[in-house]
Amino acid sequence: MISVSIREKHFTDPDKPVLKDLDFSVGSGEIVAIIGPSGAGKSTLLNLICGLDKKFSGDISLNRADGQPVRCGFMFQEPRLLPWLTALDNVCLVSEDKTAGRQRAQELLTAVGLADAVDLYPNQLSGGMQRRVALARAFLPEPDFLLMDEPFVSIDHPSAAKLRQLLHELWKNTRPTILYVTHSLSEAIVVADRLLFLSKDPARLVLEETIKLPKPRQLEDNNVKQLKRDLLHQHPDLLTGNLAVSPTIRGDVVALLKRGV
Amino acid sequence: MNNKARNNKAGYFGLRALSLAGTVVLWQAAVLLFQPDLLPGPLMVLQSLWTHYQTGELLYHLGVTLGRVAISFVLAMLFGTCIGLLMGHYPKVDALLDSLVTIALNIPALVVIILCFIWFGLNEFAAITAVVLNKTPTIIVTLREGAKAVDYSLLDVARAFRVPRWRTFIKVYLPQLYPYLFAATRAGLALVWKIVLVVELLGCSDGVGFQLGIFFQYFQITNVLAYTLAFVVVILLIEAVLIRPWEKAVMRWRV
Repeated sequence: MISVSIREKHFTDPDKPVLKDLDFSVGSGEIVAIIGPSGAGKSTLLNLICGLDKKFSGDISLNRADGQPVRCGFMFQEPRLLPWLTALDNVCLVSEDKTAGRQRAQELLTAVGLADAVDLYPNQLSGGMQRRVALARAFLPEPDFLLMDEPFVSIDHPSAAKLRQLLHELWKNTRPTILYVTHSLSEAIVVADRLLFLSKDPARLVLEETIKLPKPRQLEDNNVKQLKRDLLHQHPDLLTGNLAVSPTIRGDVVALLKRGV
Repeated sequence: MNNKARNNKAGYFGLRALSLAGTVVLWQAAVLLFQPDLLPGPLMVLQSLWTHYQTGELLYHLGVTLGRVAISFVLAMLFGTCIGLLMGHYPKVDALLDSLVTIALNIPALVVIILCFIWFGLNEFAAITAVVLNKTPTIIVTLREGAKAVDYSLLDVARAFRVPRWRTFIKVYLPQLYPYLFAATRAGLALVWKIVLVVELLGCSDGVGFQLGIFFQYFQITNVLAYTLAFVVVILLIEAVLIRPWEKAVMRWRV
């Protein structure tokens, strides 16, 4: 599971923290979407969890139930493929074992529908195909944790829908814990088991919502649309980041104290 | 390879051959305008080249010079790349060395050569040091630009997936520097052999530069051109057999 307990994270100005008092945990095999307005520090949060950025106060731990060392996969906003490596070599890059990795990379690329494109370079692939390569790469290490930072933005809707479907299929095999950052409520409802909403400047947890709709889901599904409408009806400010911090959210000690708990 | 690419390749080869042939024709035409003892024709130069080749003298001096070029080129690339990358990645190192590099870039090659021979004596060490000192600053500047252009978001991919350091260096970091390494190599070879000849002219008792000095004293223009031609052929060969195929191999993705 992932347990996050961030006291504070700032960049240049200590008086303007990006993240503050952010506590949550993600159970193993769970898919949790983090939703917040752009500039809320969502990517920063993922960088902290992944260990790319170590300058913050607080505590983040990623554990496996059996105590074995954890393996992580990451998918960035842009595909971030290396232009000088073929699709296959891009996926292989992150493997621990060369020959087994190659075999698995081939299988994953086939699974995402790129069996014919393994020897092509990224500049010969469309944006959607590049993201499929990045998706295959993210699954190569058989990750326990998969961190995804708005992975399917800036591509057309059918490609994004296809990618979400592929994600669901790949997830079913090994059931990694997924932390999925997005600014789109609809996308979050389609992908996740649980939603965490962040406020802005600094980012704090404002609302938590569990989704029990059957999977796989589509953007066009009526129950997805209905849930989105209900959420926005209950919390009109949900996506602006201006929603007041809910006192029931765990970790907000001050609010609890004020209520005399 | 498809047909179009093959035609293109043949066409480019034709253009290369044409430009070389055109140069020879122009040369011959120029000979008609000047006295032959000031500008000998291609045939005379080839004859002289053959004579020098047969005595073994040409290959000996060419070999000595190429040896110096190779050693000083490798050393200059090594030092220049290391210092340039450090300066590109660490602003403090850059601030420390920036003025020194600017000065080194602008000191005339001749001054460095004279000083090296005076300080270290007329020996091989002084000769190589002089060439390396002259060449390193330009490589530093090129590779500093390369380091500044490194895309850290790609390095973050390697870090996020815990890719081992060595593999990250070879597969993620180094390929980003290839264009700069090629630029430094091309410009480097061209400059190094020019400086080596001057060094040999001033302070060595063998090598092409030393021979050219003698031919100059006796006003043997044909011999000067014969040695130059030999060198040009070697340089073209290095470019065609080593540098271009290597560049093609690592730049294959730029289709």
